[in-house]
Parts: sequence; structure tokens; C-alpha cells
Amino acid sequence: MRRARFLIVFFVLLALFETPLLLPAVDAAVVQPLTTGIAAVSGRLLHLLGEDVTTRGMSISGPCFAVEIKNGCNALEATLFLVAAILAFPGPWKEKLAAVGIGIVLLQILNLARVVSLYWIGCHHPAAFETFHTVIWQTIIFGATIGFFMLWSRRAGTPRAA
Amino acid sequence: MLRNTLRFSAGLVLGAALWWYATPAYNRFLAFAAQPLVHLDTRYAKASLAGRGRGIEVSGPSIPPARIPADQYTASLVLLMALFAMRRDLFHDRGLRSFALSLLVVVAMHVVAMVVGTEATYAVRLPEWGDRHYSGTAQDLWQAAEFVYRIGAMFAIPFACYWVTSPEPADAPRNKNAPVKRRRRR
Repeated sequence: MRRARFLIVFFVLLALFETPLLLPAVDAAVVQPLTTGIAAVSGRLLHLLGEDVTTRGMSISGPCFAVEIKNGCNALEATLFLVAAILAFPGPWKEKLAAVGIGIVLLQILNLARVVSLYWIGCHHPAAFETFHTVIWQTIIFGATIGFFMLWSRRAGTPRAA
Repeated sequence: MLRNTLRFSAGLVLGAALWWYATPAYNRFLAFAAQPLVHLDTRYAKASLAGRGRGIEVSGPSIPPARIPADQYTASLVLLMALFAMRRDLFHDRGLRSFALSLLVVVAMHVVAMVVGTEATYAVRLPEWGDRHYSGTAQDLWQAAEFVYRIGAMFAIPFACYWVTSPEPADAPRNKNAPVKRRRRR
């Protein structure tokens, strides 16, 4: 019964969080600035790794490859997924908010690794790009999201000794 | 945690390999399963769906041909396999039953996603056809349905299956130091 309640609340929250992403105003105010920021930081990381890239808006381009970061590659969907799961789980709000904060930071760090590695794969192993783009990294990001949530929910659901 | 990470990684690699190589055959099955549902929309009553490589091609006497990127709807199989690889009872009755049931749910969602993908493709990605045969609201709705599936539901469904069938989240033994509640005997 507790699981069913959790799932219902989770799916309702997920739909509520995701639907606004379709609105052009939300896209312009939230999605595009976030994605531009991710492109800029990824560009700097690629520079540190010795790649000669330039960033322009949401795209990263170099002599061997160019990539445009779109919805689905900015970890926003995984972030909303995590927030919906944490908020749907019963527990104190203070712990939930802390978990949301830590989760968002970890997901964005992991997402930077995704963008940087995808550029590198696209440049040096282009045949493997599509598999890593659509399958491997998507699964890792959602696996990490679910893993973080499961670890947190196990802690949150454990009674503490007084 | 390390063991779970290793199990998850093994499931991910196995799932990705299986998904990659089985996609052409799986797409043929999806085309076969989704075709009767696509026919429910009278505009596509004579449409023919055929799995070709990593996509599904839609054609018919009165509709323009279209290609649906079916592999982008089915990658959730990889997550399902990675999640279930973490279950210690995977090769026991309960684990196998749970996996089979979850697989059935995910495959059913893929069939529905194919129908939604077909409608969204004709409504939005073939603008001339879409503007003539769909209202503005219908175009928005099909696009929204496909978007919600691809960015959330596609991965939320394997998670829900895992969560519901897993013995761990709610039934696992809790902190050993926690006080044990005793029932009063009458």
C-alpha cells in the first residue's frame, strides 16, 4: 500500500514537473540558460583535457566534432525525476530538501562527465557516439538517479537510535 | 554498495549489448504489434508498419512515408536489465517472475510508445500533412505525449516495476539497533 501511494504521488509529481518544460517561456527562462551554462563549463573542461573547442550558446564545436546540447542531455529530466521521487517518499522535509540539493549537484557533475565524454567519443570514436548518447549515458544517468534515491530512501526510512 | 554498483554495471553492459543486437528483430515485432493499434485512427487504417534496421517505416496508399526512430523508444530495456541485475533473487522463482512481469509491462509500453510516436511524427514532423489533418491542439497533445514518454516515463516505468516488485525498499530488515516493537498478548 505504501509503495502504491509512493508511485501514484511520484507519477503525479513527475507529470507536474515535466509538463512546463514544453512551454516556450519555461524553455527560454530555465532550460536554455541552464543548458548554455553546461555547454560553457563542458567547453572549459574539454580545454583542460587538451581539446581545441569553442562554445557558442548550447553548442560545442571543434575541428573534429560538433555537438549541441538539447533537452535530454542537460540532466534536467533526471533531476525532475529525482525531485519527484524524493518528495513522494515519506520523510521529514528538512532531509528531503537536503537530499534534493545534494542530488542535483551530483547529477550535474555526472552530466558534465557525460557531455565531455560524448564530445570526446564523437571526436575520436564517432561510430560509438550514438550508442553512448542514446543508451549508455542515459542508462548511467537514470541508474545513478535511482541509485541515489534508493540509498537516501533506505536511510530516510531507517529509524534512528535516540 | 560496491556489489550493487558492479551488478548494475554488468546488467548495463549486458542489456546494452542485447538491446543493440536485438533491436532490428525487436523492431519487427513492435511494428507487428503496434500496427493494429495504429489502424484505430481511421487516417491510418491502411497503414503498414515495417521494422527496418533501427527504425520502423510507416507507409500506405494515402499517407506520406515516415520513419519512426523506434530504438529511441526502447532503450528503457537496458535500464530494466541493469536494475534487475542488482536483485539477489534474480535467478530464483520470485525474481524471475518479477522480471518477466516487468518485461511484459515495459514491452507493452513500447507498443503504446510506437503508436504515440507514429501520431507525433505525422502530426508535427511532417508539417504539411500535420497542418492539414490535425488541429493545433491535437498537434500539441501528440507532441507533449511523445516528449513526456521520452524524457520521463520511458525510465520511470522500469523504475516503477523494479520498485514495486523488489523485496528491498519496504521489506528489508532495518537498523539492527532500532528498538523492536513487541506485540502485547491478550
